Amino acid sequence: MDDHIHPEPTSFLSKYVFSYDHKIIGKQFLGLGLFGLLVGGIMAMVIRWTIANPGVPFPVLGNLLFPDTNGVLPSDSYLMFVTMHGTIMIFFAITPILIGGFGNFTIPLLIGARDMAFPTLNMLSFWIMVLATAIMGVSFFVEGGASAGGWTAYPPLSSTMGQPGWGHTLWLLGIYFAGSSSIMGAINYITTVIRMRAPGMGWFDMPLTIWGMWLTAVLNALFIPVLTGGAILMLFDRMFGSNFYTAATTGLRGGDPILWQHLFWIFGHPEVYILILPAWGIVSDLLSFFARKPAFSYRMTALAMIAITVLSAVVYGHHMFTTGMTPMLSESFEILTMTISIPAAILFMNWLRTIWRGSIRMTSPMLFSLGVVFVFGLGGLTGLHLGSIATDIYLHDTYFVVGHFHLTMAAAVLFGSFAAIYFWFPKMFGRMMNETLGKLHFWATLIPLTALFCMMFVVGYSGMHRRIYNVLEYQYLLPLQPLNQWITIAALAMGAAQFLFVINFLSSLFAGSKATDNPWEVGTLEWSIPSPPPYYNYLQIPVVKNGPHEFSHPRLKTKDWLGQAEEVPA
Amino acid sequence: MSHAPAASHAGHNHGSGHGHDHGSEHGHSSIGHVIDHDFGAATNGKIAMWIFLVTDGLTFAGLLLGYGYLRMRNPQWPNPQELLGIALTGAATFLLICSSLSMVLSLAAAAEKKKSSMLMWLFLTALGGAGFLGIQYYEYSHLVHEGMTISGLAKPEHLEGAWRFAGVPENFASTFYIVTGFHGLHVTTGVIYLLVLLIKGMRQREITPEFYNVLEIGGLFWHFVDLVWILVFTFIYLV
Repeated sequence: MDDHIHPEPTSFLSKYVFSYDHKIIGKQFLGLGLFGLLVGGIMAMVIRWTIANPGVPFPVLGNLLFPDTNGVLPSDSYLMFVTMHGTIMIFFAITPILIGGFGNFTIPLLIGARDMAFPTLNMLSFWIMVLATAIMGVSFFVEGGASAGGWTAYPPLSSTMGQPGWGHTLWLLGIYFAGSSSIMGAINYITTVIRMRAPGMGWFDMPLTIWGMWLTAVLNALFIPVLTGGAILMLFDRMFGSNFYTAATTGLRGGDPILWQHLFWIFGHPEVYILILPAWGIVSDLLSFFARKPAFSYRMTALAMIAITVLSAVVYGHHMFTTGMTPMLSESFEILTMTISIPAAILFMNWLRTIWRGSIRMTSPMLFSLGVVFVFGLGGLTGLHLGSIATDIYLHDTYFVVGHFHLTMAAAVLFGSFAAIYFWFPKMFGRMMNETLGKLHFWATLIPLTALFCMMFVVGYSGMHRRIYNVLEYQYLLPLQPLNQWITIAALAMGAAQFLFVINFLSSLFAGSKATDNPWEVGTLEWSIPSPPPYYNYLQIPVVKNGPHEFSHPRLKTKDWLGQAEEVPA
Repeated sequence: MSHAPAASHAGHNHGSGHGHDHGSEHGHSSIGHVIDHDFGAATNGKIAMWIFLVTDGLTFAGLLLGYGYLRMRNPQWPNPQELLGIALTGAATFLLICSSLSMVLSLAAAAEKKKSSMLMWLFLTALGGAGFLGIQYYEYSHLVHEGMTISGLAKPEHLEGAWRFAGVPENFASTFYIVTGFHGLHVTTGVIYLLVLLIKGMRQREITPEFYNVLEIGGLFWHFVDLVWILVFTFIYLV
């Protein structure tokens, strides 16, 4: 054995718990994220149930969750559920699954490295995330319950007046630690991709998954710190009696609550791209892999992602059109926001052009990738209404917004995560997932999901505010209640469909058929080594000779794909 | 293990984040990557420190943005020079700039493998940082004594007659403590960092390229702390 390879850890603790191995850390993040998805998902079900059936106990879990009210979600906990559903899904489900989990798992494997640049930092990043999760978990059990300030935590809702208990203070600490974990990850990912690509792999030879992960890491490194700065101010407001965010723009006492909105959205808008960029990267690769064609205009796809990354930093004001900023500013933000549709359209057209006339293999990862294209298309088009001032002022804070951001950053990212899980599961665990169950899972998720979020547009367009506890108390909303009930039915159906995934995941984990080295017949580096890879990944570091999507090369006789480290046959 | 493309290994060694690794004779690290000439010979640790500094700089940017926003929106904001006084803080600024110079001299001595000179300059750098913190402590305790606290401005009972903070917005005090305090936290971290480097340096029999790299990365952080102070000093005290 080569002396460059570290000795394999032997004890259970060093192998599976305090592991330096990026693959194990990736699996740890994946597990943490799936747990977050479960908790956040159950909360979504409770919220939907409450909207459709005000005052009716939540079935099965109701009495366990709300014993004091006989299973009904009490009105004072409703906003807490909304807040924590958003917070958990964004910071403790999607972030750990796609960025922590698949970022860790794919980056070294796909660029032909043995591990991350900083394995110790990587381990620290995971355990700080565990700490952040624990803090968020504890916040449910302190007096007054968890934060109910909305995931955007606007003051004065998040001030000591709006949130007198410890819940929101712990929320801030949880976000702070989750952010620190992401920054550590980001520093590691950026350095790893810059310095540890296998010989021969130029920037434009990287799989698009890596482009997505790398740009996400860049945005994380740049904008989480701004949120941290804003969170420090809020922490001092809550703990030490300062008044940065207390309303009063003139005079001696008090500051300005709008300041928080600026600091939050400077981070918050890039955050939605932080969540979606890995999914875009993964989808760009998978569409090519399963259409058996090179990704159409690879370079433009990568450049479009870069352009979106840059633009995402200068459009945050479109979240604040109704705060009374000067028309000059808001119009600038509107124009910049609309500019994003150009690279987004390039990305979209490249995806369609990639699958156009391809020999499409309808596997479950492919289905979920197509699902991303579909739901992101829907979400993206409705984004135009929110980016334009005239329509946004009417639609602001309605269910239209809820429908829009759920399609883009929840549905699209969720489908991207599922595509990644179905695709890399064989490489992660050495077993195949069940294809029939996977396809069933896709359709059973896609149909109710599309229905429920599209109905939200209708409800929102009709004027329903996004954080209403009891719809029946508003005369003008009564005609919408049947639609709300249908949304809830669709949501419950979608929630139920996830059991198919759980069953598939667990049964495949223990009893799935053994995966070959390259079950999908694709050429990226990770498929040239055994499934699951040995702890050192590559016995010999590969020398890259091809791009990531070499399909149907005319000189290939026996197969239609070419490995990245393979020579083109003479 | 051998690679087809040979790569130069000039100046290539590992950053501090690479605890259980060691360099190798092949010009690639023990985990097998080859130096990317697009990025010169910077080590992983150095790249990571630069990224961290950008990250850290943006945290300061967030705080300074908050400060500027609150100040811009409040017409009663006083001239900070008159209220805070810049003579003492100017001296502290000079001390911090000197400590940046001594850091450079320490690194220059390390490059010439003069261990004792390197250690002396490093010690003086840490001393400069500690001196800065001492002045900051003195300044804080004075201001707090005069009623300027993190939660605003309250006139202490023992002060009679004209009180110099009368009519000053309370966020003048809060933003002052948040921004300078966050910087003070960085100086504290930096001094601890420098002392760790000092101990590491004393344990070296001679200055290795690995240690030089670690020292250089520590120097980056220290210069960043100084640079940020120049901005903080300008925005909080001068303008």
